[in-house]
Amino acid sequence: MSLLFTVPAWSFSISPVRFLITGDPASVETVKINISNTEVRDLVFRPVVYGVRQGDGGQPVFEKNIDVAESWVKPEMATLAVASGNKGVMRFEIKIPRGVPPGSHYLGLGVEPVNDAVGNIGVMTRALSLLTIQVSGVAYEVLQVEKFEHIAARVGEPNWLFDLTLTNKGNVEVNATGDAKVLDWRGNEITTQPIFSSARIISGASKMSDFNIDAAGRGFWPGLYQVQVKVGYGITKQNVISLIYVWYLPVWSLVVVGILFLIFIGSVVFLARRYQMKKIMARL
Amino acid sequence: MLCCNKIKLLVLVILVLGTLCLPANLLAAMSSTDYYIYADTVDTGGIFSTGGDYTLDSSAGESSPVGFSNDGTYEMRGGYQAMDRGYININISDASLSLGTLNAATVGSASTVATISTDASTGYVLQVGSVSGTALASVADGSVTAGIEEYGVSGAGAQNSVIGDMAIAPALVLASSTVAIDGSATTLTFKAAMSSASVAGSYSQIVTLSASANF
Repeated sequence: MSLLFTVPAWSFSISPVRFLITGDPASVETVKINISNTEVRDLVFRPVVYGVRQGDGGQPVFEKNIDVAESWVKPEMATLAVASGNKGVMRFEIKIPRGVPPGSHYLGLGVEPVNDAVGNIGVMTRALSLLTIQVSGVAYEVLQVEKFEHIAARVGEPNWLFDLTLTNKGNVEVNATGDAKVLDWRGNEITTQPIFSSARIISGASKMSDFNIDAAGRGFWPGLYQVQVKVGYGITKQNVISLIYVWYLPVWSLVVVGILFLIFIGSVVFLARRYQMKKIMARL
Repeated sequence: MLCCNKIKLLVLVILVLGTLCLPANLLAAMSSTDYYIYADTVDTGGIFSTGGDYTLDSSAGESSPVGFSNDGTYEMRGGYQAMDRGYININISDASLSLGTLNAATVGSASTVATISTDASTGYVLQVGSVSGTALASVADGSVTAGIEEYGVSGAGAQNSVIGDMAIAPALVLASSTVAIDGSATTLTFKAAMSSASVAGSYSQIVTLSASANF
């Protein structure tokens, strides 16, 4: 049994790394990607067009057939030969169809060398530029808290873990900055800490953000607390807020409560017996 | 002689009038040792054009230069094609990897180095773009172990994102950075192991590595 694969030594650059196009329905735009062949031999490149979604870590993930705008893009050439050390230009024509509703679409435009390793199996390389197409019209920014939960292994866990999921329900991408605030049961702020800063969330994407608050390290007293997440987002400077309650009962507090309870019970028994003894003594 | 002077005068008048008629905000793609204008605009029309040492990418109907700017409250994305003038370079070191003939007593492995450079302020992400071909069963327990049919990849490097041995699948993030970086090298080690029950044969794959800037 053998396993063989070939990794052609590709080396090339593309530029720019990011585009933003604003266009009307029924309009046509053209973008270009500059290719620089830094390989020691001539390369032939072919254009690639992908839809883009946002991965769990916030990174772009390129896939086919996930955005209708993939069909709007037509490369102007099937292949482009670039000699070693030289530069070339790959152009893409973008036709925004008539009647398309306003909002953002996310694509990856790029190139990959044509694998000329005949008879071999290869690992190919691909470089992609992020393209945001904003179809003109009314844009709205809506960020929602999809989930905000306290992940508690036990009630007295000194390190509070939280699971936060935000979803961009608007039709454009937003930058978001979030912080978590801890308040006591009366609503007085005790501490605040950042969760994330300037995180870009594209339209339709979710951002999962787990964070923790070290209750023991911050010297919290046992009791009921409120944890409030506040996320500011977008050019419209909106905020979304979510609040949950957390009981903090560390082991030592349960031990203290237990001891106090035993003392209380003991005291009651002692006083009851003493009362009984007094009654008996009084009868005698 | 008089005719020649008239022609000269006519040419001079045309040049002067032509200069005066040019839009004040006409820009041109050009560079020198001190600056580089990557993309530009002209209010009265636009087209891709080339001529000698220069290329001109122009657009119609706008008067401000392209690019992003903000004052903390508002962000302006000037131009119909706002862009980050940046680059990303991908380099794969080895042309050929072979895991050789596998046996049940050892783990076959081979490595290549993927090096990424970019000046994108958001850094980069290197991931598996697509996978095709035939391979052994994907590793699922985090480690390719001799005697068990498993196949996967591990990574090493400052920006490596692969923890242990992971199955090679689309969207698997191999390396990433959140800042611009020059020469970010990640060693990718492909590993395979077989069991006594594995089907004998020749296995092969095409793995496409995809590099892009982060959002």
